[in-house]
Formats: sequence, C-alpha cells, structure tokens
Amino acid sequence: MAAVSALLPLAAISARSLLWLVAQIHLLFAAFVLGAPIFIVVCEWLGRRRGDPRYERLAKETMKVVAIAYSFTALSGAAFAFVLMGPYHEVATHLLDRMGPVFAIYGGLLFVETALMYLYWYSWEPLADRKRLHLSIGVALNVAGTATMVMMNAVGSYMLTPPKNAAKASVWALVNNDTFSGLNLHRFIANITFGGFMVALFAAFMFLTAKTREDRAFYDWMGFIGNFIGVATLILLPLAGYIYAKEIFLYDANIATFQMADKLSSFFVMQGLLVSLLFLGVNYYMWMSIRRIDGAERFSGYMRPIFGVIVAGGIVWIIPQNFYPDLTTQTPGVALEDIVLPERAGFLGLMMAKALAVTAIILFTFVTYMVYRRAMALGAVRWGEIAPQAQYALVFVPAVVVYLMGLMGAIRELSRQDWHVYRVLRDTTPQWYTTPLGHTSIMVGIVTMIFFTFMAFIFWIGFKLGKPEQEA
Amino acid sequence: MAVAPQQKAPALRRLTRSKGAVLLVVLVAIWVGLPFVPEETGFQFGWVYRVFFTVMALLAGLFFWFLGRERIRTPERPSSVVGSVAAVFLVTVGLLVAVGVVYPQFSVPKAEKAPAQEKQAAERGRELFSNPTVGCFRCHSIAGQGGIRGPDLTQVASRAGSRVPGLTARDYLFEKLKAGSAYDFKVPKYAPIMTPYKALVSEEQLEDLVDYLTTLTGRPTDEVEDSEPGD
Repeated sequence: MAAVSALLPLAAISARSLLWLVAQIHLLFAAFVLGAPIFIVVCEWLGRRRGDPRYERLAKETMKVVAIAYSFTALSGAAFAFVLMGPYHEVATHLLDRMGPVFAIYGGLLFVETALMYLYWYSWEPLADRKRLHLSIGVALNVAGTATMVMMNAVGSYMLTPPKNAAKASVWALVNNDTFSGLNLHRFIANITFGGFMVALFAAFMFLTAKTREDRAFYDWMGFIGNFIGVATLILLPLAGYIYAKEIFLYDANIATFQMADKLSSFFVMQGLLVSLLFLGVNYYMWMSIRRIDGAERFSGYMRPIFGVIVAGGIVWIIPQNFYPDLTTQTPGVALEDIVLPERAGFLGLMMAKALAVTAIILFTFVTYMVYRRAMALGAVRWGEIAPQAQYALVFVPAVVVYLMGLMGAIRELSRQDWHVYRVLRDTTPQWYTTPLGHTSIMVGIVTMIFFTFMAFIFWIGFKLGKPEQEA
Repeated sequence: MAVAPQQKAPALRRLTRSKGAVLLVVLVAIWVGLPFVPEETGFQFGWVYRVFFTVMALLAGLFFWFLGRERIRTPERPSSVVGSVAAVFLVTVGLLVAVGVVYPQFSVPKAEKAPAQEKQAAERGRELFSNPTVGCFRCHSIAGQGGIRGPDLTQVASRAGSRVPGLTARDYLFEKLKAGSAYDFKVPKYAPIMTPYKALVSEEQLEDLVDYLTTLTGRPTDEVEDSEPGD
C-alpha cells in the first residue's frame, strides 16, 4: 500500500479527482464518436434513398468533426489508462489479470474501428458513385464501434456487479454479469441521443452565424434533424434506465438502498430535474419549429396545456420523499415534519408517482411531435425562419445532456461504495469516500466545461476553419 | 405566429395566459392555504416543502413567460454570437452546479482520516498476528518470517478470494479464522491443526486480523508478504 499512497497526491489534485476527470472526459468523447457515426450513416442512407442532398451534406460535415474528435478520444483514453496504471495500478492489474482476453479483443477492435473510420471518411469522394459500398463501410464502422463499446461495458459492469463467485468464474461469466446487457442497451441508445443533440448544437451555432439565407435554411433543417434523432431515442431512455436499474437491484438490494434511500438519493432528485429540463428543452424547440410552418397557428392553443403537463410531471418527479442527506444525518435546527412529506402526500415520493410523471412527460412529448407532423402535413415549412431563441434551446439541451451523463456516471461509480470491484477488490486509498451531491456537482460541472471547450475547438476546426471561404 | 382573437380563445387558454395571476394564486395557496390545512388531513407540508414548491412555481412562471415571447433579439456579430452561446452554456451549467451545492449534504470524512482508520485496524491486526498469546506466527510465515506448519501468508490477499466459491477474500479469511481446522475448506498439503480463533479473540480482533491479512498482496512494496491461514 505504501507505494500506492505515495503516488496518490498527484500535482495539485488528488489521484481520485484526476481519474474522475480523465475517465469522464474520455467517456464523453467516446460516446460522441460512437453515437455520431450511427447518426451519420443513417443520414447518408436517407440522402441516397430520398435523393435529398441536404442529408449528404449533413452527414459529411458531421463526419469531419467526428474524425477530429476521434483523436481526442484516443488522447483522453491514453490519459485515462495512464492514471489508472499509475496510482490505481492495483485495479488495472486486477482487471487485466481477470479480463485479459477482453482487453486484448478491445485493443484489436480499436485498430479495426480506427481503420474503418478513416476509410469511411477518406473514401467519401472516391466512392461518391458507389454509395452502397461506402454505406457498407459506414455500417462496418458502427459494428466495430459498438463492439468496442461492448468490451468496455463488460469491464465497467463487472466492476459493479461481478458474479458471486468472481474468483473462480470464467472470463465469459465475468463479461456476462448481471448488468452487462442493461448497460449495453442503455449506453447504445444514449450514445445516439447524445450524437443527435451534439449535431443539433453544431447546427444551432452555424445557424446563428450564417450569412446567407440558404445556409440558414440548411442549418435550421440540420438542427431539426439532430434534435429529432435525439428526441426519438431520448424517449426510449427512461425504459432502458429502468431495465438497467432493475438488474442492479436484483443483483444486490444493498446497492438499491444506497442509491434510492441513502447517500445517493439526492443524486436521483437531481437526475429527475435534469431529465425534466431536457424534455422541456426539446419540447420548447419543437414548438418553436411548429411556429415556422405555414398555417400552424391553429395548433397554438395546445402549447401551454401540453407544457403544463410536462412541467407538472417534472415537479412530481423531483419532489423528494424527504430532505435527509442520507439515512442517518439529521439537519440541525429543522423539525422532522418540515423535511418529510406529510403522510397522505407520501405517494408523491414513491416510484409509482415518479413513473407516472415520466410516462406523462414522454406521452406529451410524443403529442408535441404528432402536432408537428400534423402541421407539416397542412402547410409548408419556412426553413431558416425559426425564432432564434430555438437555437439557444439547442445549446441548452446538450449542456444538460452532458451534465446528466456526468452525474449518472458518478452515481454508477459511487454505487460501488468502498470497492473498486464490488465485494471483490476493496478501495483502501485515502481519497475514498462517497462524495456528496455538491462535490459531485462541481466535478461534473468541471468535466462538462472541459469537454465543451475541447468540442468548441474541434468544431471550430471542422466547421469553420476547414470551410471554404464562400461557405464560411 | 398570429394570435387568435381573445373572444374566441377557450377558457383554459385565457386562464393560462394570465401568467401573473396564476402565479400569484399558486403562491398564495402555498403560503396562506397550505399552513391552514388541518393536520388530521395528512396534507400539511412543512416550510421546507413550501420553499421547494415556491421555487418550482417561480421557475414554471418564468418558463411560461419565456414561452410567450415570439422572438428575442439576437446578436449580429459572430463574436457576439459566440459570447451569447457561451453565456447560455455557462449559466445552464452554473445553475445546475448551484442546485447540487445548495441541496442538503451529508458530511464526509477528511481524506487523511479514512486511511488512518484503515491503517489502525490493519495495524492492530498485525500486532495480533505477532502476539505470542494469539500465536499466528508460530505456524504461518510472512515474507520469510514465521513458522512453516501452516501455509505461507505472504500473498494471502491475492489468493483467498479463490478458495471457496461465493466467498470473497475477506469473507473467506473471516470464516477460516473463526472456525480454524473445523472449517470445510482445508488447504491441501497441510495438516488440519489450526485453532478456531473465535474462542481465542473477540470478533473485533478477528476483523482486525482480516484487515491486516487483506493488505498482504505479496507485492514488493508491501512491508510483509502473505499467503493464507490454513490448517
């Protein structure tokens, strides 16, 4: 332990904080370079199928950013591995020892994915007349990318829910642990959601700085498509989240108590707030989109009641059962009845009420989309004439999404409590303790800002600097 | 978007349009109505919840006010656009962080305290191990020091988890120490002579011993090395 302890205070921040930062930044980049190509290939396919050149342009412009982001993913991944193998070499050794074949396959897949990614990007023009082949490369890229993610999901899920007889278990048993499929499902959908909202963010910025009517029309459309993909997959995420949570709970009810009734309960209140804000943001954008459709005035009367339901659902979602920080801490100077829901209103703090609230939010988001479809069927869309505040909603949404991803990542890691690998490898480092919501929020806020700073740089290179003068 | 004539608007729309009035009614209900709800109804919300509902009502009011804006002024120059986008982003993240910070927090141990406690337990275990009354060292050796009748414990923490299916290293060590040679699992090649330690030491001391043994991973940096208690 002595050598490990000696390495822990790295630079000005603790090794734990450093690992937290690099791991989450890497995961955010990884989510982007895994999710965006799915979005891109679908767009390229739609462009070919519908004969609409806008899809092709969208796919190509986004792919340029992905290609640059890929390097940042590799760099942040190397930094993550470096920190893991330094101060936390005990964990790295354990994981490599137990799951060596998984890491070997992961390494191989990274090479395949990288080769396919550059092949897909650089063959865009040469294969312009052989779209089917180019799309096949894109599909192969996504298959390799998803397989790469699955490998690391195996490691991540093993750390939280190792099989009961982990020491004797085969590698496959370690991989196919109780939450492996749940984590895969959740991350796969979430990556596409993330990719969609990030594309919408790029489009929003380009819209706001566009100089020509054509560009404004294109980026208005691009933002709409990005948001649409994001919303279409977002409404599936609560269900995927429930499946994942149920797997965790079935594995060990102690984790469930720790998450929902103890130290992490306030984190889930925060999660409810973030998801509610997310749905408010995307619905707001959709209603702004409806406003730029000819003849859509007839639908305006539905807007406030729909938002009324979504806001009410969001409030119900985040009403806490109590304001205890954890199971044992009392708040000094505050009476018990002030910080606990009254008896008859106790149902507001239970899962049933939360599930109903989420269902209402999802249902009314779908209603908004149906209104949009109906409006489009009755009138022409005036692309490029969307109210500018809608573009700021497209900035707001990814900021919330990234923050939410950071918070959920923290919840997953903190759920292991004082174990690197739950009940297999104990964390005895000096920095181990469950961080309160405030500490976690600051860390997640820093992660979010660092990620967007990098993304702004990538975006500047990909969308602005690399653009021909007449387009820029 | 053109606004439909007021006289044709449905009652619900007219009501929701007067946002200020709705907000006022909600706030009055929260601060004047709720405190007078009889306790026996089971709906008497404490002041903390009333503050919570007030914040929610104000935020909802702000949102609905913003929803009514047809078009906002936006910057023209690219640098101003960058600034406005950055401002939206920073305000969003800043407010989210603020919510996390003002929410009731539990206290955490100081970073130095946790390892000290950990070390204390392991240190106590180490002392017990070499205590002649307890006598572990008479049969077990660590880093070449100790007896040879029992298994070498230099790397016990690395191996103990694989001894009994379903038991972690810690659980196995605890059970083995407690039961001694009466325990079902016997380390091959060693005679089953280990004393059941539950009769010799307290449960806390057993925990300390386990804490010590689980630090023995056999790496050169460890001051001692290990294997596991056996028969």
